[in-house]
Amino acid sequence: MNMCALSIAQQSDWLTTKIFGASGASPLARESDAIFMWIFWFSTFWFVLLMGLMAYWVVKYRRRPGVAPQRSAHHNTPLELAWTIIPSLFLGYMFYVGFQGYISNLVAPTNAEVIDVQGRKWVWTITYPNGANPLTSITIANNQAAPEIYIPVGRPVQFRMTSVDVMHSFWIPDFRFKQDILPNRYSSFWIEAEEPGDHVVYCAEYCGDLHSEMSAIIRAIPADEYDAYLKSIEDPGGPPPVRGKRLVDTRGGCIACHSIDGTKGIGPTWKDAWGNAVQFADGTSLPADDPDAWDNYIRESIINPNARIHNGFAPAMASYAGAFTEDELGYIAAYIKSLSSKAPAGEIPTEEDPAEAPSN
Amino acid sequence: MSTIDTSTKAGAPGEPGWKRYKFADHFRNAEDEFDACKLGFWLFLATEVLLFSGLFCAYAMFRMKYPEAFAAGSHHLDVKYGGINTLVLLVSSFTVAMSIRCAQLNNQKWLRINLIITILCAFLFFFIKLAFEYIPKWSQGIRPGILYSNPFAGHPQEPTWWSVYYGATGIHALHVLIGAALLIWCLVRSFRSNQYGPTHYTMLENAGLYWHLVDVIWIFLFPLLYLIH
Amino acid sequence: MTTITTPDTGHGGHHEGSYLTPNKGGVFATIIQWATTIDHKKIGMMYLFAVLGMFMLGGVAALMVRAELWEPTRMLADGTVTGQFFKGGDTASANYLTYNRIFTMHGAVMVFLVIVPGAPATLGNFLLPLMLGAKDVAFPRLNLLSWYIYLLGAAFAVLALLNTGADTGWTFYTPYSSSHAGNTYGNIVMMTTAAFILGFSSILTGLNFIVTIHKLRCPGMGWFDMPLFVWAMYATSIIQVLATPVIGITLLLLIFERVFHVGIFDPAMGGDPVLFQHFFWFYSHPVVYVMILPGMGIATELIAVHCRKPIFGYRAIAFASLGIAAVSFLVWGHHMFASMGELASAVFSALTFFVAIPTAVKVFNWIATLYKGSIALNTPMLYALSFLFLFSIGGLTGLPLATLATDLHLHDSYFVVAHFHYVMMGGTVIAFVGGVHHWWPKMTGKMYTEWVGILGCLLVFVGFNVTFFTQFFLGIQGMPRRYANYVDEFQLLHQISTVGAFTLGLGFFIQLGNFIHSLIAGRKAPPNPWGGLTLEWYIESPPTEHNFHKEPILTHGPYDYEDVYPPHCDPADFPLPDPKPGGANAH
Repeated sequence: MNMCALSIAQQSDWLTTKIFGASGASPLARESDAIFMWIFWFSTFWFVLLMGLMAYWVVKYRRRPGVAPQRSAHHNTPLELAWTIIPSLFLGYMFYVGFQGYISNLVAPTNAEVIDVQGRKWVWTITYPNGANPLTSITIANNQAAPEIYIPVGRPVQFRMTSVDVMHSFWIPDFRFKQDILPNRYSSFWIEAEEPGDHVVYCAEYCGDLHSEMSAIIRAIPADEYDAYLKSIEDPGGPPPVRGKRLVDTRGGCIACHSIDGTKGIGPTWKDAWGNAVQFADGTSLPADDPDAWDNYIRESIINPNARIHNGFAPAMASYAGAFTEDELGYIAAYIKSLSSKAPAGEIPTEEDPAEAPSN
Repeated sequence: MSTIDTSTKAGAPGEPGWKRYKFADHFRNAEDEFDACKLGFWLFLATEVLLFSGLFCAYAMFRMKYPEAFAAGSHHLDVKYGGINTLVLLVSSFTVAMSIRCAQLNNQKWLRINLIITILCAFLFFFIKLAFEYIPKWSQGIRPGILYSNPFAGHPQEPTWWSVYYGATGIHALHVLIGAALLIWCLVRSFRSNQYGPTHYTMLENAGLYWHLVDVIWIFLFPLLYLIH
Repeated sequence: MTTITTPDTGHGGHHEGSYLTPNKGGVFATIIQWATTIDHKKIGMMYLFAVLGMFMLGGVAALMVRAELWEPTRMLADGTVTGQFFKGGDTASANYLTYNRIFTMHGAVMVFLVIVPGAPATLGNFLLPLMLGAKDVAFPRLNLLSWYIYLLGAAFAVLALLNTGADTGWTFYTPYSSSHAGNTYGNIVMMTTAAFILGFSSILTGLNFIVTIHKLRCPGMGWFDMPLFVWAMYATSIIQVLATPVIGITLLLLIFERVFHVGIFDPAMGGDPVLFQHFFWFYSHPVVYVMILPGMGIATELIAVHCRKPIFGYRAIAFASLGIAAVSFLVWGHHMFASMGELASAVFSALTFFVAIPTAVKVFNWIATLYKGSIALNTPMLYALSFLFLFSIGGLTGLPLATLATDLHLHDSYFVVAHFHYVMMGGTVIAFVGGVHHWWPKMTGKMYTEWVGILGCLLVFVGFNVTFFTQFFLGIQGMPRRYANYVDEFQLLHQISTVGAFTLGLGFFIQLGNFIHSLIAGRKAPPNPWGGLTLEWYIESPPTEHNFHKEPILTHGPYDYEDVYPPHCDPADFPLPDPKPGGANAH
């Protein structure tokens, strides 16, 4: 079965749609369905073969009074080797295609729009790339209030997710993917909607009383409508890097040790830091060009600065645990990111120079 | 219904306990029973090792996460007392092995003396632990988890170190107590009826094995907690 | 080859009675006799009684869950018969809490109190010494201790669950289980203590069995002369001994976390919740093989006896059992694909496919055994065939779960629920019930009623498939696990599943009635109703206290139907195949 052909096609075939309820909403989703259907047919073949033989032999060799069973071989090495090795080869292929599909969903394109998602008992809160976090929701089936998450059609969107309290999981059945959400850590995956439509999101990790009521709804809308929407909800406080700079200048006192122009201080400079490889004093390192690792590293450095010390610097930074809210951590990270030439284009605000932030 | 002749009439004339011992009737002979008991006990020791390996795993994870907290906490431990305790346990492992050897040689007097020394070492270990480690720390507020109340912690995550310390050494100390209880039981039986001798010393052997395990676990705990900074 | 050295049982019974004969001192003396017994058969029967009781408790919880899921939103708290029980309070949140406690009860009871002890402690205890030609297990008093530890753990568990219960799910994931304040503090600690205690019972049983198999085989029985049920129990016992201590320390650390707020698993205190998952699944994955391996061993025996044929590929099955036990320790991460990094997920996915291979080989061997057999379609054989059907579905549906791309859709959905019920219930429970039917005459000396057994089997088979096959579709289409409410479009499938569940319950109920009736008014069972060749069929039904009157000396393999007449049987009922040129040993 040619999985690529199926994923390029806009609709899955009849059986797939019948089993899954609806066709996958993106090429990656349809590819996942194709892998599933391949496994389904593989399993059906073996199952029918085995059960067919079972049924046939149960009837043919049923016990009849006075009739002795015939002798037969007790084992057959070539047959046993064959039925060990041949299925193993199929299983190896299954692993391979499964791994590829999985990685494709996890590693977002560099130009992906990043939407921050926070899970808490028992509601989702969203922060858009411009820092706005509206709390609109609609009522879906059975009187549940589901927060709306708008995404642009035709542009990749990465969900960067964390939890405020216990474990949750962000599952979008139409896109055939989920990731578990943990406190004090970011996890992420990306999707791209092909056409406008609504897609329900469920929490898929048991989190207590209202676990079954923790839904959200992703509303894919045309890209221009999405941009207009973002403009309309924009916080006068400015985009995240601007807000981050304000926090750093007023409450953080970070500039005492971290420069933004490349000079070496007590702490590493933030200029061109984000996105580049870092060597740590304990011998480990942060890889270059790994956005998730950098997001986690910045967060960890604020809350637990001595966990990993940049080579050549002393472990002098005190912890800021509890000093900033989750959102504020995100703004500071956005500001630090904006100071790097490696930041994706969307991160650097174009309307305002971060050095001239409004004074509110 | 037990078929082991466990009569322990003190002062019963005639044979000592180890000669009167009959193996359980579902075994073919005494060698089979001894082998079976040893195999069973080794399996049980394997489960103890796995239990502690979970603790060591937790220690390793948290050491990787908070190396400074662990270094700060470890500095508060006195290597002197840890070292003395290590010596105490090593000596006791030697004496318990000697007591088994004495059983094999039917030297009842030295069997008991070695057992007594082992048990005294166990209590010495416990005493040193309590008097010089646990009690002084507890009174300074250095306690596990939420009970921690020392204002001079060198690092915000230091209470986690102390929880690991108390957890690991506490569970180990519990096993020291259990081992000591087993050895006391052996001593009592030896006194009452000379229960252990050349043809029967199963319980003594197993108690000795348990004691060796308790010692080995301490040999791992000591450097990990006291020596590595 | 000479005949086996066991005296004819015609004389053995009349002055000794069986192990079931009440004590001459009256009811009270009999109770004391059972309470202080070190006879593996009595201990096995007591476990059987307890496990069946716990199965009913867990089953009732399951039916309550399915009843709740009949309607998409309506909680049973508004006015129906069971409403008062479900009504945890006046707020919507309180009603969900009750549902969450019920599904936790179902999972915890079924896993810790029924399936893990199930086959090893009941059939294993009863049959292992008999199949080996021994008088008892290696450590009979330790066996009794295992039983009392089980009772203690069961008492803690039932008390905790019925007291207001735990609502964390049987998996106790942190931070919910370590920090959640809404639940009664004591219940989670009590529940985890119960599981810790039950772990000891499991370890001691496994330890006992390993030593028994090494040391108490009768003369003439080498490793490859043992029945395959014994191989299965050996592999199971290895896992029990090595894996259970890890859940012990995990639960102990969880209790410390809850009581002392230590900070191991709770991120608010600097801990790591994924560490809990690693620790938890390091035991809980091997334990599912503790559940299925005895079931596979039972299926092997049933198929061999009722097809009157040696199992195809004896050594393959023996080594596959050990192989499954070994590889089972390497795959725990496949429960955590949605919360681990890419490299770890890839490694665990690959290893999971690896463990599928010996499992598949066993299924092929069982089916190949049917070829040229002489297949009696009685109740135990029907259960064995059901096992093959249901376990195959369960195993095959594990493939999309092992495959990373599809698992990230199916994880934590009803697809997983259906998969594990197919393997655990369709596999283990079906094989176990078939085994109880097969050895019922030996254990109790009574025959159950055949047509009722077949009816029960059919009801269970149909009910099971209706209940759980629909759940595959529910999961694929987007129904998450552990949900009390759901969207309207899933209602039809849920209702079909609920109808199936009650049918399944009815089937089990009928079988229970069959067993009870046989105890009261069943026909007396002959020593060897099925024509088996393993040693337990050489003695009376039920056996005497000491099993064998003289130590047996084994002179033939456990499945040598082609060469040997089964004991106590009319050769006309079990004719030998025509002799092959070259003699009996030519293959």
